[in-house]
Amino acid sequence: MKTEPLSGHFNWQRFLKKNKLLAGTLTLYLILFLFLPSKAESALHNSLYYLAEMAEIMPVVFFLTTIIEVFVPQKVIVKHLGESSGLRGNLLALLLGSFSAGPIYAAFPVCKMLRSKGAGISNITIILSAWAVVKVPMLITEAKFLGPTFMITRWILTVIAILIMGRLTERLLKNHPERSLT
Amino acid sequence: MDPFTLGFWLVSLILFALAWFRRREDTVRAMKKSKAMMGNMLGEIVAVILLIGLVLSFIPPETIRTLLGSDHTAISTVVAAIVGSITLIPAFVAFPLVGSLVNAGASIVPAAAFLTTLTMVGIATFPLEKRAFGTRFALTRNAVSFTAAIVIAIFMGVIL
Repeated sequence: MKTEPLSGHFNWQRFLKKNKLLAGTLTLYLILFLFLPSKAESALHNSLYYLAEMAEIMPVVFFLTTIIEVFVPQKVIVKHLGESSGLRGNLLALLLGSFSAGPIYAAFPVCKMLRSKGAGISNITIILSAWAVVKVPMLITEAKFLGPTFMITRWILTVIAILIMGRLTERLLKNHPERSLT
Repeated sequence: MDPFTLGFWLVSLILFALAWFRRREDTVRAMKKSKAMMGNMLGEIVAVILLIGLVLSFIPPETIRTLLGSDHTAISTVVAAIVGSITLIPAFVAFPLVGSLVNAGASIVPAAAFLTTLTMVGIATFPLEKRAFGTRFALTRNAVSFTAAIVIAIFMGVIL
């Protein structure tokens, strides 16, 4: 999707090569539209909510990763979120992940940027998990429909689990440093 | 747009403006790095979203209701965790659905398993995670999250 040759027309071959998944999905939709148009329509309708969600959050993610790169020096990240930042680093990661917005894929570029500046695997895992599960608007909805006791119990258990998961993931990946994280 | 997303927009726009006017060169370089990191992600996200829409049109909420309401708690917990891993349902649909089931007397163990894997385990977003962090990390994180979801669900059953 990067650039097409300046003079020539749109380079379809290159676009398809770089977007195999999208090409496959669009083909699937085309087939569905031909044979089961009502199913294709409802599938497209289902996707609209997520497309809107993506449009709301991805520009912010772009700004955020840029801001981290400009304003947060590598030293600070290594010190507070690096491999040797310990429990304090884990708690900071938990806090950062909890004050987030949008679906888990929005966290991928942010965490990749943090990783490139020296954040540890355990803290990356904690931010990703907290980003996915611990969200204030979500907790409010959960309390409304399943009761505050259910919500608080699940929240406490999840937070404990996330902290353990960070350590566990780091330990599991430590044995294979050559293929762990890019 | 929920208040959190709105807050994110405000904060990031202000900080970005600050970066842009104070440190133009660094900012341009950082924007290039960000763009490279997000890379072809947008195309893949759109693809993943369209696939989710497809899956949802074949697994309607009623099917999930039947799966979660089964009498065999152990089996339905594992099935619920798997269904939660595959699908991605917005919170405002998932919570009322699960809430109505639990209020109707269904066990909370599969309910908790489903709600936890729904957000923490992502088979649909796996290609994106793999591209960002590598196969090994994506596999390990999702496997660990799946196990954690089941453990959380069992504890929920014991405590409540």
